[in-house]
Amino acid sequence: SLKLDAPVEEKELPPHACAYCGIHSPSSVVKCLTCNKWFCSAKGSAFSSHIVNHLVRARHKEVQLHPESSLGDTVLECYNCGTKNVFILGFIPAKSDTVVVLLCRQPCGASTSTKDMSWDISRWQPLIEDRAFLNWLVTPPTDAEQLRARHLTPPMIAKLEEMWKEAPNATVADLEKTAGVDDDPHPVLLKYDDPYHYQNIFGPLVKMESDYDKKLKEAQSEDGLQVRWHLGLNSKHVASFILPKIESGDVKLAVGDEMRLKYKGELRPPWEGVGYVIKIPNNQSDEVEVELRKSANDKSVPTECTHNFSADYVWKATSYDRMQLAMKTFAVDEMSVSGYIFHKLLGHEVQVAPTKITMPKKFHVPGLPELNASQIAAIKQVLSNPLSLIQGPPGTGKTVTSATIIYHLAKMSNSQVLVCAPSNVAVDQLCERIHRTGLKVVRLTAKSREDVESSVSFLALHEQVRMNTTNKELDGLVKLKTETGELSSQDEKRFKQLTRQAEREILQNADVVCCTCVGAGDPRLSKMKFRNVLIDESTQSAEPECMIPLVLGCKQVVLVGDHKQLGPVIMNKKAAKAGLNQSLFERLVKLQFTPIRLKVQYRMHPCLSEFPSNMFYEGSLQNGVTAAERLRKDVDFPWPVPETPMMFWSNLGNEEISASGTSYLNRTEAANVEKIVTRFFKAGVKPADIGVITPYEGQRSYIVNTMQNTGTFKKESYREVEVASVDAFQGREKDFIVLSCVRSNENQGIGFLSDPRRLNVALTRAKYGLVIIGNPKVLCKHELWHHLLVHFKDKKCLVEGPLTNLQPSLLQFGRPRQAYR
Amino acid sequence: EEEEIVVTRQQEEVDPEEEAEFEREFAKMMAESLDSRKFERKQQFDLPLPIKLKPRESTAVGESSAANEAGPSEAPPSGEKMAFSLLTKKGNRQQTRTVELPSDSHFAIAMKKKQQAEKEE
Ligand SMILES: [Zn+2]
Ligand SMILES: [Zn+2]
Ligand SMILES: [Zn+2]
Repeated sequence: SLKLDAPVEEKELPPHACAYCGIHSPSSVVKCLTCNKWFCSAKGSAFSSHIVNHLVRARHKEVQLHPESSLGDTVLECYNCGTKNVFILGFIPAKSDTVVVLLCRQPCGASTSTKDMSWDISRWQPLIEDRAFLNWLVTPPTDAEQLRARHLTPPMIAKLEEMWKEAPNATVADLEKTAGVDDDPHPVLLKYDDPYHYQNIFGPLVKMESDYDKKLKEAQSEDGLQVRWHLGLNSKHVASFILPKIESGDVKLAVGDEMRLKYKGELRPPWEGVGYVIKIPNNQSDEVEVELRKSANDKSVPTECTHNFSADYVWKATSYDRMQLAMKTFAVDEMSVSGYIFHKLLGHEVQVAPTKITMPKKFHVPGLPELNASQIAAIKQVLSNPLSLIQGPPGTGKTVTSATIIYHLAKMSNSQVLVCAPSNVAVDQLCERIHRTGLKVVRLTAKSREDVESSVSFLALHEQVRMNTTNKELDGLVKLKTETGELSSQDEKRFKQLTRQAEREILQNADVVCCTCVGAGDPRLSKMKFRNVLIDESTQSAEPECMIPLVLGCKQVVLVGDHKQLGPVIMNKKAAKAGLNQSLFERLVKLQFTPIRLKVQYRMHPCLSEFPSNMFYEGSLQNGVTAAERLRKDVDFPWPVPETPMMFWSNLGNEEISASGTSYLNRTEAANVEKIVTRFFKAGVKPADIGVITPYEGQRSYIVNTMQNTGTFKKESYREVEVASVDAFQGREKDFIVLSCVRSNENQGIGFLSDPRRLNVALTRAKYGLVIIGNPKVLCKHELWHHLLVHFKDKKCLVEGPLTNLQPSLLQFGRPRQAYR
Repeated sequence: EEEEIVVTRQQEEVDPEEEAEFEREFAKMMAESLDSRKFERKQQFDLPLPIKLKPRESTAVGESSAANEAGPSEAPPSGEKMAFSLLTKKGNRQQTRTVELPSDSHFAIAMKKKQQAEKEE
């Protein structure tokens, strides 16, 4: 079977790194001969150098220089009596020659000087001056080294020294561990002293999230499953089954996840096999499909059995491990990111000399649409800056802008560009655009996703290896493997070797490498350096996830996203609360780093963009489409004002707790969603052009059922209408959107709906028309919704009554009770 | 490509009490070290100067850039550094290693003065 990940080489500081700060240039460190730890001559924020600090606090006295320093591995000792106590050592010069010797002050340096002696004892100069070793003996580290080093305050140094008395092998990391034993993790900060500080904050948060994820996933084990078997086109066995726990909404499964299937029945001996999830429940069916990995005992797959199966989730730490490794690399490898990016990431104030670049004569790129002024302005700025943020509000052509930037970066710098996004879908989209410009693109996918179909399969690395016919030997083995399904162990070994070689060649010849952020931690990229990195949808990934592509040597970074739309999904509430749900983009914005905003939207009817523009983008959104272009005159729908295809339909039905007990539903709203969808069908709108958004899983499944049971059109038509959460619609669009708000109670909150970013996403998915179904009396108590309702009312688009006879609502809104957060 | 950056960092405040505490410890260390050797038998120090051929490149000098920068093979830019020999012992064997002193260090200044005086004589 395939081994997923080769072990990644961990980057470590060399053994002679300063035990306080990690500085390790040989000329700046000395070894304490008593405890064998190394210390440097940096002073940090203290007024004594690290080495002197240690010697005093630990009461150690003897040292040795580094073998690679100019004086070699010299032990500092008195030439005359051999004492090694550095506190009493000093140099004396010869009277008439450029020679010096180390001598102790007492007694050797105190001996009387005689005239005929060649040495001038009277000019004894101590080894330690100003709480540091003479700088010509142990060189002070450079500013750059000191700025990148770990930052330890004097009290921390004191604590560390205390720890060493009990545990001589303790490290600074242990120091931090003892500091945070309480339950609540340290919250994230805006600025960090150094990369170790950064790692110490984010490391535990990533660990918490990883532990939580593991627990959740492993709780998905289910027994008593019924399985249907079929053979895939690639002659692998596929098992289809229903996982009841998924229906309850507690469990999240994704394509590419790994599951272990077991047979525990009596019809044959116990069996187990591992495979990848290739399908999850969708509008078509609720079944999960797992494709088994090829293995030697393929013949024994119990395809004749259907009952008594169980399924376990095979949890993998890969993505979390890669985040942790990236943070570590950031700390110990000075080549991981440029100095400027290094300090920017830590929130330090840093200026950089402007880079001299020749701007391209024209910005338009073959194969991509023409650009508008705000897009060109963004591209210009990005190309001349080492770090830029591009904010792309809904429908503003983020992908085209990104693809254009990537094209110019690749052409101008003549070095490879690494392009990442948190989700596979987003990576594929961008990958496809870049391919259209004629650049050589490689899409690197996880091994587990190699069989997942996508629009850019032909750009995938494994596919390019397969199609590469220049290597006859590899080509032969590929054919043999496809024909026979298996290779001899010797052939398999050779096949792997040749594959790796081919992969390397293809990667090295590419102009652009595309993968997910986590994918950037793939061992196949670990030896490569990427000077240019662009991360799309960066506002949807947690900071440590963004670090993975960044620490591959970046010098020029572009983060694309929109912090006014939904952020990263963090499952562990404590970790989220501590700030793991804040993206790097957002933190940089909070640090006054101004994003370049794309301002022309091409998606929504102007009446639909007005409110989001005013509420979330300071009114800066312009319309690149006219009202006429976004009016479907052919669609007969009872819009209250025909020129403004939007309405808020007042529904006063009550909310209920859903069957699972963890979610909400609203029967009145669900029934009315069905009526609206049916009305759109009658008007000739295709099912695939309608989207139903609801923030609650309980309501989602209730709406799907309601449409199936009461809709007057064919069941298949309703099945093709996508009903999903706001989160699932992010980054996408539909012609018509129906939003079911669900929450309707007198006293409680409105939960999910109070997040302005979620509302922004929900309001900006529709191109031609938007119907909001909700209870205005409840929603208006929240400031943000109050504004929305007033807006709809002003436009005469707030209505009530049956769909066949909608009437303007005369509801008066009082002042909102609480500010939205 | 060289990167030119300027990083502004806030000066951290040092707790004067802590500073004083460390200062005391440091002074104590010095005093104790000296005290402990008060009754050490005086050993007259004298030593003939090594016959100065060319400063021998030490075998221990490695290939690291730091070592090379300071290595004797490259003539230091005049006026900035002055090459001295440090006399050390390895077992009973005498060794000299080259060490570059900044030209404004006590020893270098004294040596320059002396050389000047000799020239004038
Ligand atoms: Zn020590
Ligand atoms: Zn140090
Ligand atoms: Zn001595």
